Amino acid sequence: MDLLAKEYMMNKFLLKFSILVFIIFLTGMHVYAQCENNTQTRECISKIQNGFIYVKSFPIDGKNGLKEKVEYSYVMTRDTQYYLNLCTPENDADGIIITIYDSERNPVSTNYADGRFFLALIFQCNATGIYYISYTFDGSKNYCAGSTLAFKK
Amino acid sequence: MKLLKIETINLEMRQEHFNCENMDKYLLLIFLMMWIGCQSPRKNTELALLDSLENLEIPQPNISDEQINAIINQIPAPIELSAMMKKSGAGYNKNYLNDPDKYSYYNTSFEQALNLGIYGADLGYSNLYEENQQSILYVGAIKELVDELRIGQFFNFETIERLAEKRDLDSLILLTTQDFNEVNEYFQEQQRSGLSVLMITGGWIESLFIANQVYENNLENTELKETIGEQKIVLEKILELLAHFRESNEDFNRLYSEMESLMNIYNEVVIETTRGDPSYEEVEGVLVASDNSTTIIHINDETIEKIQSVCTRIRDGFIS
Repeated sequence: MDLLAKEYMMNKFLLKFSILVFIIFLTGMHVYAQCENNTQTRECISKIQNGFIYVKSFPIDGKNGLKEKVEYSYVMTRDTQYYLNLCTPENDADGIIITIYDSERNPVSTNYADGRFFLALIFQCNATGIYYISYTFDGSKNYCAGSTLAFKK
Repeated sequence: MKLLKIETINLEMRQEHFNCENMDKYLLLIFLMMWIGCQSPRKNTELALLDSLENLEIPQPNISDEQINAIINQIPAPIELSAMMKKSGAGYNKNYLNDPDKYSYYNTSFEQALNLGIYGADLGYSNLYEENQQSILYVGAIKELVDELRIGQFFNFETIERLAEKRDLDSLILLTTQDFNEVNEYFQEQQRSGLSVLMITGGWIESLFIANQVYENNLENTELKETIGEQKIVLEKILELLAHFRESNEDFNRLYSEMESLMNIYNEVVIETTRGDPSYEEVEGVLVASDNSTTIIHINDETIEKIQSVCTRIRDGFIS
């Protein structure tokens, strides 16, 4: 009876311990998989082309592929050049396509052309209005990046 | 004897049970400590700040914070309008700006947030024109207001002043824009987006006021006139934001009515856009797209005079 009781208590303890270790492991996995894009955003600010003035940062977190796109919008002004860049942990575009749409959802600029991804684009805006800046993923590994918007008159 | 043995077994079992329960508690404690340890140190600071921010009476919007934040992010930075004025060839005039010594007039968080936006726009304008002495005065005024609003930790004033003294224009503009963006993000994270809305409204009114003053002295500048006209698009967004706060706060309601009176005049402005397909070319590793759309702004002199008058009235109400 003594041994049985001890064994029962020990098994119960081991079971609880295993569950806790498993939870800690999962929590660790979650932290590991989180998109910490502050580094990429800061890197992008330092890479803004000379002559452009920084206005906004756009963190991109595709939640490991759960999100199909990340989208922001901004009122852009005519006779203004907008510079938009992309920074990823891979130091390439990592399959992230930037598309700028006008207020009627017509695409007006992208970083993807002729099968090539560019890390930066310049959009010469000639019509003032709301523009949608959309980030989609095509074969991305990290689904995580930073991007910055700058302008030049 | 048998009874005694059973008692001893029961006692041992209770002890084992007690030990296991303690073990459970220790395990739980270890888990909690690990979890707390994994939290960002900024969170603790944020919690303390959140406590202090709760003393500020800021109403909540009647839509989700995500929706409010999405609209906030659409509003262009005041420095874009300042850059347009500089490009037009207009000179710097400090008389257009709010007096940097008036920060002590602003006692409520509502007034402080509005005037933080105003001083931010004045700082951006002064920075663009490399008026470093004026910039330092505005940095001082901003420091007073952010301390009152308990968000001083987002501004590195020593570095800002050093950059202003060194006339390091690019770094100065970058740092101050980043700081203001961080404040906005912080307010949004803490469900205090009402303060962001006030900062944005103040900054926009100040930029429009400066543009109006510059235009008054350059009446032949049609580009500037049209720029004032196309601000209708930004005003629509600001009104959209304010509309979500007006029901829960009388100050916001009054502000909405003021901005609505400006919108009533802006409704006379017609913005006509003709769509065209974009063209692309690669320049030094960057894809350059030219939008072949065009915009025509229809605004007459009478309308612009009314805009100037109402904008001045609203701005006077903010800064006095």
